[in-house]
Parts: sequence; C-alpha cells; structure tokens
Amino acid sequence: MELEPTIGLEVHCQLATRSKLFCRCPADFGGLPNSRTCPVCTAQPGTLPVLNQRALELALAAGHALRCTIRETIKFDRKNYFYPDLPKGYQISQFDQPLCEWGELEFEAEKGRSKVAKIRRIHLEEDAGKALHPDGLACSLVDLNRAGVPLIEIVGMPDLASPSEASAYLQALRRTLRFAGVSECDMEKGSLRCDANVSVRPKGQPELGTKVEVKNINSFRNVERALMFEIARQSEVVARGEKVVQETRSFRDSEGTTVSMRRKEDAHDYRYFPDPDLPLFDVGRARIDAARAALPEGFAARRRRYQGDWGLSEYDARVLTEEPAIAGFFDATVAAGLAPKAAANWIQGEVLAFLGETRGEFEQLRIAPAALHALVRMEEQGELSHQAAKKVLRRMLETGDSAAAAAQALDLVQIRDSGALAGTIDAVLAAEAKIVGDYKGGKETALNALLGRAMKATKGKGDPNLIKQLLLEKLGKPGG
Amino acid sequence: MDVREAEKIAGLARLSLDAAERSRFAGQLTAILGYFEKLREVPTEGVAPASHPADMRSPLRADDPAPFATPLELVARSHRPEGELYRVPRVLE
Ligand SMILES: [Zn+2]
Repeated sequence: MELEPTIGLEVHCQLATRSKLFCRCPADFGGLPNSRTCPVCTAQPGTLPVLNQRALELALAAGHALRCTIRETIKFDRKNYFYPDLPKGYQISQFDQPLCEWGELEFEAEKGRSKVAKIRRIHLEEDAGKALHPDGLACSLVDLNRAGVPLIEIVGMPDLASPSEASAYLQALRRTLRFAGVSECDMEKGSLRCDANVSVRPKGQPELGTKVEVKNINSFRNVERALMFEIARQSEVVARGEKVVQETRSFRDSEGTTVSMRRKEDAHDYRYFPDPDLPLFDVGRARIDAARAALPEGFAARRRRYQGDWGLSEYDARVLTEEPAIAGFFDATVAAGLAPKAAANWIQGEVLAFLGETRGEFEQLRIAPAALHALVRMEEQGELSHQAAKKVLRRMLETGDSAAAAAQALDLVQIRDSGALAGTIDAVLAAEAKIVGDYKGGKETALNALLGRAMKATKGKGDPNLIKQLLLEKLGKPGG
Repeated sequence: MDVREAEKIAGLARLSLDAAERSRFAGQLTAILGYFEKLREVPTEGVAPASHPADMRSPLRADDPAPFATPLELVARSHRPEGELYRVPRVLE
C-alpha cells in the first residue's frame, strides 16, 4: 500500500511592535529576567488589557499580504490552561471570530512549479513567558518578559504534500511577512515558530489520516528533518497494521526524532469564552483599507517588476528579493539614477560578497544608494577603471567613505590628462624600441604590448583608452 | 450534570473536591445549566449573538512603550522568589 503524507503548518510570528499587545511594556528581546513586566502582563488583580493599535495594523497587513477576508468587528477570547509561564491562567487569543480568514500563499513547490496553499485563518494573541528548569533545583523558575508580546498565528490548510513543500511554504510565508513589515520572522530569536500537523493516508483515499501535531521545530533546516522523521514513523505504524495515535509530539533536534509529549488528554479542553475585559473591537472598513493601501510591495510583485519592467534575469530578480533590505537598497539605487542592470550587478557582486565575507547584515550597510551611484558615475566618466572601481567600493563598504574620498585615499583616480601621460608614453616608446619596430613592421598586436607597458608605468592608473589614442597619434597605422 | 463531569471540570480548574462537594456542585451546576436550557426557549432568530452584556466597544492605544518603574518589586512580592525570577513547583514538558 502506497502512503502519501498531508501536512499543514501553524506558524506563530511576533509582530514588529515596540510595546506588548495589551500593556505598555517594551516588546523587544533581551533584558534581565522580568525587567519588562508590569501589573498587566503579570496578571495582578484589578488590571485591564488595552489593545495595541499597531499590533492590529500589522495583523491587518499580514491578512492583506496573504489575501485574506478580514472581519470588521473582532472579539478576543480566553484560552484557559494552567502552566506557570501563563500568569493569568489563560491566554488572550481569538477563537471563533479571528481577524482574518481564507487567504492564500503562492510558493515555489519545486523548481519552476508554483503552488497555492490556502490559509485557514490568522488571529491575534499574546505570547506566554518562559519557564526554566535548572538542573539540581527542585523548582522551576519563570521569566515573564515575553508574556504579552504580540503574536499572530497563521493556520494553514493541510495542502502541503511533502516535507520539501512545507519548507518552501514556510520560506515564502516568511519572506511575505518580512516584505510586508509585519515581523522579523527570525526563527533563531523565536520571532517565528512553526508547528506542523502531519498525517499519512493510502494514496487516493479522500479522507485524511489521523493527525499528529509536531511541536518545537526550531529552525528552517529542521522543518524537513522533523517532517521526514514523522512521516516515516507514521508509515511504519500503518505498515505494521496499527493505528496512528492522535497526539502531540515534540521534535528532538539532537536525534532528529519526534517523541510523544504525553500530555493529559483533557489538556486540549481550553474552555474558550469571550474575554469579559475586552468588549468587541470595531476594526472598521477605513482601517482595513488604510492597511491595504500602506502595504509595501511584496517580493513576488517586485520580482515581476524587476524582470518585466527592468529586464533583469530571473536569477537577478531572485537574489535582489531575498531580503526586503536588499530590494529596498536596489530600488533606491535605481531611483538615484543608476541603470537597473548596473545596480543589480554591483549589489549582487561586490556588495553581497562583502556582506558574505564579513557576515554582515544588509541593514548595517555603511553606504547609501546615492554613494553607489556616485561610484558608478566615476567609472562611466573614466575617472576609475572597472578594477579600480571595485577596490574603491570595497573601501566605501568598509569605511563608509564617499566614492571620491575612497578613490582619493586609495590613490586610484585615473590619469586622464594627456599632458601628464605624454611623458610616460615617450619614455615607454624609447625603452621598447624593439616592440615599436614590430609595430611599424606591420604587427598590429604590438600596440597592446605597448599599451600594457604604459599602463604598468602609470601603476594601472592611466586611462587605457586615452593611452591607446595617444599611442596611435604618435605611431600612426601599423606598418605605416 | 453527573458527578463524573463535575470531577472533570474541577480537575481542569485545578480544584480538589471531596465526594460531598462533587455531588453538591454537580447539583448546583445542573440547576444553572437547566436555567440556560430554559433561556434557550426564547426565540432568537435574527438576533446577533452577544458576547458581552454591555453594547460597548474597546478602545485602542498607541504603540508607545512605557516601562513599568518597579517590575522586580512584583517578583519580590511573589512567593519565595529566586533572584529576579518567580519560583514555581517544578514543571517539565
Ligand atoms: Zn506589561
């Protein structure tokens, strides 16, 4: 019996707000334990939550970027469970009236084949704190800095047919959210978290098999690893003639396996009910439309524009839309006046190579788009050779110097003064009488040898076109 | 509601009830649920479900962080804190 897997992802991502979802504590990472807490997010009696407007706007941006239907009035519900990282004993989430529903995400399922996966819903909720279990301590310890940090949960339909599709879907989702400015989506920092629902069924069977939820997939690399293991495990269970148990399993990075979390069955009985502290919210048509209007251009639209309008190759368009910062820099460089192809070549070549070598982030780049344009103009106007321009750009990236200052500092500005070059050329012609003789005897290529000697004499700074012109003026036609 | 259901709900709410309490609460909860059954007889066709008793709307606030001045005082007031951390009975996933 041939089995096929079905996968759906549930993705949590932290909204890029400055403060928490229902209180004014800072929402950024780090800080001493519990230094970013207040009476609201530590659940002191008598406190009341007040919704962060920016969080709502970012959730709307996510909804638009994923082409969802958006609800004009929303409700928050309490999801009740007991765990020490949840000070209120419930999480404020959305149950039956989520902000966004029925969206879709197009992604490249494999090279050259795109696929559309449906998004079931996106809702707003608050993050929990962190429980620590130090060795040798009879108790656990709790840090509530993350309690109340704004999240959206993006629930995908089980539309993914393989671990590699799931990975491609997650990459496309991450890029979509990053380009929409919704979230940093950094899995290492925990601002993107992914749980997977996985089942297997005999090929052709319409109904889905028993679903297992895999949690704690902590990196992009591990999405495929965890799913491959879990699919193989379930397939073996079925092959033995047994039934897959519906359960939650945790991915173990060190072994590449999943293990049952053995939670009590009723742990999923969350007893949702409307949060009495939070009456309904009117999101309103105007706010929904404003979020749509404010949505930055997505990576897919940018790729189409780069290829269609600007004639870049598919490869170029892909590299430039890898990160919003790269695309933003590229667009700004073109807006500064540089031709798209030239801008693309410089960014992909020297700029990305520099960041690769220095393990730098595009956001920390020390040159402005206009500075890159200024450099290319220097080359176009013959002030720098192409090789020299590369060296100058390198220095600009390292020091933040302007193109002119870097060229000056490296002493690479091209000599384009025929008077200054004439002396050098005379000296070369005097020293290389044999080559001059060859040229005069009709050996046309001898001119290149003389050009090479002259370039060397100027330490590479002479303008090769000008030197060639001067040589021709002095020597006349070959054989002449 | 029977005693077994009352026991399950008590478990979810982390309440420890003895046998007499279980049967007393089962009776009381049955009466409360019976009242809702009665409310269900009211014709509600065309009436939007109400999630809150008051027909009011929640306000929004600007995304403007304002750190609480004495967060560690909250920790200090908790039961046997461990430095800047809250101490709880040992739990492990
Ligand atoms: Zn707070």
